[in-house]
Amino acid sequence: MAIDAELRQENLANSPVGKLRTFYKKLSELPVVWVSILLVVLVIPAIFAPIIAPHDPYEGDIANRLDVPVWYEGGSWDHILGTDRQGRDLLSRLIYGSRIAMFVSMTALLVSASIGTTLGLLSGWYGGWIDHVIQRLVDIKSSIPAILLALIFVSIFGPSIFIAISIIAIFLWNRYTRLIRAETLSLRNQDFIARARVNGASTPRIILKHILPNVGNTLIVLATLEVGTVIILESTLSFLGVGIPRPIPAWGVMVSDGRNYLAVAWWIAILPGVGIFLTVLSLNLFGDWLRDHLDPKLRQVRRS
Amino acid sequence: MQRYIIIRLFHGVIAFFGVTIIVFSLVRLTGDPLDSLLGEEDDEETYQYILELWELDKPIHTQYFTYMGNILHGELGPSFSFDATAVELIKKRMPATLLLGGISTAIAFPLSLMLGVFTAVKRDTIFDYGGKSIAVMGQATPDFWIAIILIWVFAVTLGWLPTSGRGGILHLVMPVTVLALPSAGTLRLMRSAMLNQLDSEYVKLARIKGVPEWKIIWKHAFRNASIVPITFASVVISSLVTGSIVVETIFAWPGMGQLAIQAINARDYHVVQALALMGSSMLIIMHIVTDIAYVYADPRIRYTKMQS
Repeated sequence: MAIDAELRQENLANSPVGKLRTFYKKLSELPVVWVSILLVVLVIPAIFAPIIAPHDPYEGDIANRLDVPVWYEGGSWDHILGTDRQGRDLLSRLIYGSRIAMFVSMTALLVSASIGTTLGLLSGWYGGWIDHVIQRLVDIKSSIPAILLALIFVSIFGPSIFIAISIIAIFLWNRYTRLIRAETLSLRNQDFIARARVNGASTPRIILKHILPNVGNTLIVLATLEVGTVIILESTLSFLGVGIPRPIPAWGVMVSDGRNYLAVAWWIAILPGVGIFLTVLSLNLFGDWLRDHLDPKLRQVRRS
Repeated sequence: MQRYIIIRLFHGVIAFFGVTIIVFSLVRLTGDPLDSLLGEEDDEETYQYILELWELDKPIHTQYFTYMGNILHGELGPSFSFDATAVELIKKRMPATLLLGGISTAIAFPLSLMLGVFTAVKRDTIFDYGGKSIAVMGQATPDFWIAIILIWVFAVTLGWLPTSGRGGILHLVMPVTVLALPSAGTLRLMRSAMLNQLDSEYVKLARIKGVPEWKIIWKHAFRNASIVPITFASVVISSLVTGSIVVETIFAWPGMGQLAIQAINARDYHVVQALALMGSSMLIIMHIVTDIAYVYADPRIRYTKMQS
């Protein structure tokens, strides 16, 4: 059986598919690609937006409405990617859009991870009725689709960045709860926890000093993998008009703005989507890499 | 078994009450509920009607009982932007949404199962890697952007398909495609379930006995991997709710999803509330059904669920 598998491996390595696979493997072992895409598309524009952006993202120039990008005839270097129907510079709006994407996803992530982790720790540590109540909360949460929740919130409060972040945070905490609860359950009965208790450590101390550090890696990996979900959700809500309100240059809003100009100016609607796609793709692949490398079992092997 | 079903139903009822409490309190605990419940140019008559319908002058717990009573009687309030009640509107819009959802599920369901089996059988070939790459890219692409690209390519540039609206079969192509895409994720589920089965001892034994490969795939492995269609159902229902709002808005399809966005633009609270309650009840029922179906389909799950 072992020889069989080896032969299979060898045959594979020499076939074109095998070469493709080794190439793919090497590529996925190098997060450099994904990290650099992330830096170029998301992080650097987000931090340095006022320096990089050639124009104000809100100020329109009515004389230059629907300008074409520089590679078309009539395009100018002043508006490299052209302008939208209000004469606002598309590149500048895209750059500020990455700022919005990063701000919203970081805040929403922080809130949902804190809520989810706290509930997961409580639920796993105490069990009993606390666990039951928290499980029912998870049930209730998974019974309302994010979009419908957003609709209710927006119909009462109107759209705003704060509401958008709240909706996303409320919507994404349950995954942390489920994972952290499971890990806490398995940690709770281990010897080092019993010893800490014999030494007189209080319950809050055990949870914060002994359980929390042990679920840290899981938390980091899950959070990284969730950023993509947050960005997709935020852009979908914004596209539908129940997320980030106009005229803030969120990528989803920009796609929606360009919808009616596909025949004359396709770039207005298509390019912001490229931003979303590249960001989420590289985040997901970076998250996969992180998961493979932060796996607690792997780490223990390396230590011994 | 019966005990499990009863407990599960009970949990479903709790979830429904939880949802109604959230919807109820969001309106009432934030300032004057009449601000959200009334349209901008409503007269004294409507004001009185709303006040009596939800008994807004009574204490909060009485209000909640009235509210629940109204909901259970199918009275969800009048629409401000359309000349009808919320329930009437939903009834009118439902067939269009069901048509779109039905067709896309009918196509996506068998297709993703077959492709899942196919990529599992053709493991480590170009098809398998192709499938994986498409799945990875699909996860990073928002539905609404795919819809916009389809319109740009097939309607605006090539002129093959109509941009929006309801009409012949051509009108269905793009909406159905976009709506069916999220369920393609199931093919990865099916693939890994099939791989598990194909690696197992009983499949090896069947191969040694000389059972033909197609029989191993369809009669042995596929039947044991059939828990996946159940998971598929629950994934699809929740993605259909989101998907139909996006798709109907973009393609101007006159269903409930489009109604939701029209209602939100007009701040038509009662319609939004009715749609939210309906979507949630649908999800709750679907979760109960899939949980019970799991237990029937797989004795091992039955055992662990009974324990807890």
